[in-house]
This record gives sequence, structure tokens and C-alpha cells, in this order.
Amino acid sequence: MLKFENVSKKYGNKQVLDDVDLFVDDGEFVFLMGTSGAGKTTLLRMILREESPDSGKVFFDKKDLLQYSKSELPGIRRKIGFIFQDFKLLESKNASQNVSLSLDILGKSAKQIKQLVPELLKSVGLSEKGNNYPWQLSGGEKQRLAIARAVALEPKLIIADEPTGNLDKGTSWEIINLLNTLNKENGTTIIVATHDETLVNSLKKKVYKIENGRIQNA
Amino acid sequence: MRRYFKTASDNLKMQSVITFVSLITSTLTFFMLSCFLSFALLSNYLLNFLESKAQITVYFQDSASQDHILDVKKQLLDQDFVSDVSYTSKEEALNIFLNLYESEPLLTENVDVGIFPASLDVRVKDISDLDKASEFLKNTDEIEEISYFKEALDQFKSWSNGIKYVGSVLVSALLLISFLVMLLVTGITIRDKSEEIRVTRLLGATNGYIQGPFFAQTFLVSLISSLFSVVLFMGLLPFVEPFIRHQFSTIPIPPVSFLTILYIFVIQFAINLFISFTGTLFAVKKYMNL
Repeated sequence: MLKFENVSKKYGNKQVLDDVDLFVDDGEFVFLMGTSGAGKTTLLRMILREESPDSGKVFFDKKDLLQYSKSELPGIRRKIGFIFQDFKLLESKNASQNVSLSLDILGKSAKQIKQLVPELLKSVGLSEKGNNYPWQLSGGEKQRLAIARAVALEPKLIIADEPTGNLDKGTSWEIINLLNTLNKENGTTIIVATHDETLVNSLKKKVYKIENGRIQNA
Repeated sequence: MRRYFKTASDNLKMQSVITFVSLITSTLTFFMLSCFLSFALLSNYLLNFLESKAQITVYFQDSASQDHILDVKKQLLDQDFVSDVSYTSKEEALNIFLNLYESEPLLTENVDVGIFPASLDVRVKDISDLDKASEFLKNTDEIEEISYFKEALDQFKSWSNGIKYVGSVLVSALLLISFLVMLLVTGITIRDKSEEIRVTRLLGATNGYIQGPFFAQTFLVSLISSLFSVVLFMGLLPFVEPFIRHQFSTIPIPPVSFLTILYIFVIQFAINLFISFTGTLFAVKKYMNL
């Protein structure tokens, strides 16, 4: 599914990623652990091709991501759902509209969107919040909404960058359990970048530790 | 398509001040363009009319006999640049005068046939033939005066060309401002929505999906401003039209028809769309990092 091969990246004089090798198989749930500034976000941004490696290759579905043309990129991104610490919800749209955006991008008809949005909101426990705007939702609800929006794309892979970073312990558990359920029930590959060791240790999943831009152990 | 226009109208509502400024600029620009187009149409019509009436009037001395005048008429008709010649005798000239001023007896009571010269009205095929006709007549005997309005026509031409030139410069400047305003408005909208655009892009939206609403927004602004400018133009017509008719009272100017208004609207809307779309395209290329 996903493979990093000798990937390096520098910002000015700072080596952010240094000869990184990483492999994630179909249907896996993987934690990417490291302190702030360790290079986790850069690594995830490379999967979305928001960043390109200075050297090395990133393969998605057995093809080097850099080989995809600009016009092919949207198609690739539709296979990858993303969840961020700061949710990245559209503030001018309510919960239903945030979810329907993904469906609209997928090219679903208005009728299909009308039918799917309540189902998706229900799957993350936000059935009653469809008309609420992001600023009317709690942190946990915002993150669940972001998950619903990502899931709406029916992605093969979901990447989550510190998805619990802004949440309390209880809510963090809710979010991780939701992602775990998605992985188990839908077979969606999940990569979660986090610095929360307790969270990582509680689930017996594959862990990549990243320190000073290098993968320490797998 | 519906989503594009929904997003576009939401953007316009959210940026009400910017929308207002762009609508005002665009409306004024295309109102000026409408005026300029109408002026061009009117002056072309007037020129064509005046040119089609290009003629010389030759007044003969009292001593000139009718036979002599009719002989000159025959010679003129033999020239290839002359299209028609009509003869007005002294008596006919008197009758024309009397008919023209029959309501003013003070002017007519003391006139007699003696003060009116016989004349020939010489119509040429092309306005440039007026000089040839004039040259030909200068060599003819017993001619009192040769009168033709080439100078007046040349003056009208130069006046009309001057207005066309100033109008072109003014309209070009306004079109440039319109282009820059559209560039700025789209640029501001893109900057305002940069995070939203980034998220939408990460969700897998194509460039067309992201850009669509900006072009729909441009289309709406162009359509509304074109309609406003035509409404403004139509509102001014009842005041301007009588003035123009009075100024050119001897020329039968046709009324401004619905078709003419439609013609002006279509032309200015097409130019409006072209300018605005170009501005939007520039902004999209510049600010969206395509």
C-alpha cells in the first residue's frame, strides 16, 4: 500500500527526514510516534504530495507518487482520507455540508448525497448535529466530523496527524476507537501520527518511532 | 454547475463591500461603453446619410437663359461622377420660398421672382466627387455661386473622429480598470479562502472543481453590471434622444429600437465577460499556484 524508500528532506540546514524507510501494508493500523518536530507531519504531507522528498521515493499503490501528473493527483488524494489536529473543517459550512463536500467531490448525485450524509453522521455519533457549524461543536465532535468527512471519500488509507492533540483523554480514546473500528470493519489502512505514548501502548499495533528525522525501530 | 453558482452567490454576499465596488466599476465602465457604442452607431448613420446627400447647388446669374442652364445640365449628366441633376427655375424658387414662409407674411409680401436665381442641384455618386463637379462648373459661364457642404461634412467627420478617439481612450482606460478590479476581487476571494481551497484540494477536488465558483462569480458580476449599465442607458435615453433629434433636425434619425438596445447589451456583455474572465484567469493562475 505505502512504502518510503530512503526518503530524505531538508528545510534550509535542518534535516527533517533522513534516509527514512517505512512500509505499511493493506489493512494495517500503524502508529507513527515521535516528539514535536521529529518529522511526522512532513512524512504525512509527502503521502498527500504536499511535500516532495529531496531524495528517495514514496510509493502509493506500488507507484512512485512523484510519477503522478498534476491532473492525476486529485484521483490519488480521493483514495486518502486525512484528519488533522486542528480538524481543518470549513467554518462557513455546517456539519452536513462539510461531509457532503467529500461526496460532491467524488461526483455523487444530490440524491445520493442526501441519503449518505445522515448515515455518515450517524456512524460518528453526530446524527443530531447536522445543522451545527464547526464553532458550535466541541473538540471531540469536530474531530468526529473530520473523520466522517474523510470516511465519505471511501478511502483506502486514512492518515491522521495528531488527531487527539487538542482533545482530553476520554475524547482521545473515543477518536482512536473510532479509527480502530474503521480499520477492523472496513479494512481501511490507518496511519496515526502521535506523541502520546499511553495511547500507542494501549493498542497493540505496529509502531514506527521517528527521532530527529530517522526511523528508530519498527 | 448549480454548486458553482451557489458558492459564487454566497461569496458575493459574504464580500458585500468588494462586490459593491466591483459592480459599480463594471457598471460605469460598460455604461460608458454603451454610450460610446451608440455614439459610434449614430455618427456612422449621420455620415452615411450626409454622404448619400452629397450635392452641389449652382446658382446662375440673372442673365443666364433657360437654354444655357439646361445645356449645362446635359453636360453634367454626361459626366460619369454625376448621378443626378435637377433644375429649379426662378419661378419655382420663388414658390418654394413662399410655401416655406407662408405663415410669415412680413417676409413674403415684398418678394418677387427677380431676387431668386435659377439653380441646378448636382448629386454626385461619391462624396469625393464633389471636388470634380465643382472644378467642372468653375469653367462654365454665367455662374453666380457654387455652394456645397463638403467643408461642413469634413468638419463633422473630424468632430466625430475626435469624439471616437477620446471615447476609445476613455473606454480602454475603464476596461483596464475593470480588468484590474476583477483581478483584485478574485485575488482577494482566493486569499480569503486559501485554507478552504487547500482543504478542498486535499480532499481530491480537481482544479476545475475549485476554480468553477470563481468563474461563476465573474459571470454573475458581468451579467448584473451589464444589465445595470443597459438600464442606466435606457433611463438616460428619454433625455438625450430629443436633444440629438433637435441638433440634427433635418436628418430623419430612426428611433432607438429594442433590437438596438439588445445589440448594445450583447456587445458590451461579451466584452465584459471577456475582460472579467481574463482578469479571473490571471488571478487564478497567480494566486492558486497552478
